[in-house]
Amino acid sequence: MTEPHQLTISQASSEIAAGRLTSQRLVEDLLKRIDRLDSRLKSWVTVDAEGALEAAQALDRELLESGPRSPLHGIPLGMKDIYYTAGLKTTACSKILADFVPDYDAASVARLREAGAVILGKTVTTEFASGDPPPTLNPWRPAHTPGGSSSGSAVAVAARMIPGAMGSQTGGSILRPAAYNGIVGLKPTFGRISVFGVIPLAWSLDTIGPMVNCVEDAAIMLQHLAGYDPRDPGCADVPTTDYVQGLNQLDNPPRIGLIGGFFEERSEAEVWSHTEGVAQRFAAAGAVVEKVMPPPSFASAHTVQWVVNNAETASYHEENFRTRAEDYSEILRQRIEVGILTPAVSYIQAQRFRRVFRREMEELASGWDLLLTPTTPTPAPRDLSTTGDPVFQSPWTSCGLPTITIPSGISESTGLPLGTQLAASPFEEARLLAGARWCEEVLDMNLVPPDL
Amino acid sequence: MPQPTPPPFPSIPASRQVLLQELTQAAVNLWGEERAAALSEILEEHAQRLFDLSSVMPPRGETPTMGWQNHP
Repeated sequence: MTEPHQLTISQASSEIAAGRLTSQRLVEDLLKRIDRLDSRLKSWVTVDAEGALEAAQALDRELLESGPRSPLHGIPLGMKDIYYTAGLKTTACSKILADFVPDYDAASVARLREAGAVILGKTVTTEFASGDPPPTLNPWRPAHTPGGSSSGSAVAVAARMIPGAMGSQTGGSILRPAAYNGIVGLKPTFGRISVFGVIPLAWSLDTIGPMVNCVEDAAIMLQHLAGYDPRDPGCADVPTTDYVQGLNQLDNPPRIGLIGGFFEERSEAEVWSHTEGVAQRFAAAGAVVEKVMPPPSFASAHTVQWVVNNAETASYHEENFRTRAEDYSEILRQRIEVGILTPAVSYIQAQRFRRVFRREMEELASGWDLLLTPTTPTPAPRDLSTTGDPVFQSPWTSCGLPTITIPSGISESTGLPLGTQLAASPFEEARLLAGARWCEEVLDMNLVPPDL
Repeated sequence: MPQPTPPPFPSIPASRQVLLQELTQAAVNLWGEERAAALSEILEEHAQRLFDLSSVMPPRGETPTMGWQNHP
């Protein structure tokens, strides 16, 4: 018999709506699972058992009286510890904010609560969502990094301690940990979801999105997260659509551009061979697949990302850094220091150049339903002093195009999950999700860490 | 009458090495010799990145932006 913690959001939603499962029972089962696993995996900073059970009971009563608010009614979710949660500690896993308790919810948290979600707690982030390694362990192999910065969200979802959690990506912090742990991670278009109430790392790059176990669940969450918010100056006033309905509206198998060049050169041989195999399976299932090359400006994409990210990080932290430099961990501290040493002209040139890059990437994406690359150049490295290499994810964050990773296999050399990254044109999340769902069905993968 | 061609945009660093020396000196001034030494590896990377950036000047008409609002 399937235990409640094994259900995806979509499955749990159906069970709750049909009266075969209550939100309270689901929360209780997840709390037991957390109790059993998390002393080892360390994916949660704060578990709000009391608040979650209270909310679940209220939502169960409401369901009986007036039916479900949405497919998220009664569904427990985890929030990366940079999301403001009213009355619940939000520490960014830092000494600087060790005792900070916000008095309001981030826009995304408020939207999820309005849709009927239960906030079960806060998941581990690397310090301020930067590069210092977290205490969290990879449930597949504990000697390998779980990735970051959304380490806790990825591990909690992969280990079935929660059916969905929120992450954030400034370089590669949603897709990389998702791929390392064998789950789905969605980074929407920059500005698609409000980041109001999310502690920034770099304002012009920060993008938030869901981490879940299947593409349908990503669509369900995006449905309730997307939309304009004037409180976030980067939030785009672009209409949303029905992403869940859109999953079934693919008329033909997708046209896919497999990006070679940099992605081929930087991949380990096993990873590139896996990616070519994945592309061949899509072609055999009816997709049009052709190899394409990144545009000329791609060559400077990582430099632009480096300059913008560090300068903006330094700007946000400068005030605290003047008096509390010792309270920052080493990697973030160094990022702030080189950010302070970045000439203003270099920062502005990087932002100007970024527009050229964005235009060229949009042009590339416009010729295809999906662009395809490996999500990461290697499986999760056996090195707990790093969160892995963001080199394949960060260009997409810089140009703002939406991306998703889906699990696509297991590395024969390491036994760890491998992910495939898909991208689409700006604000074409419906097409991205429908295409990803098609790919997910062709691959037919359901990766669960062993021995849990 | 044809307009005179504007002079080329000045390149900020003369070389990666000069840039590294300037960054290191700035680090010493701000945080002292010991901290600057601890930063030597990342300063090398930063100097390289800034130098690379200075060699790919964006087109003159390109304006900076942070969001999609001003996107063409």
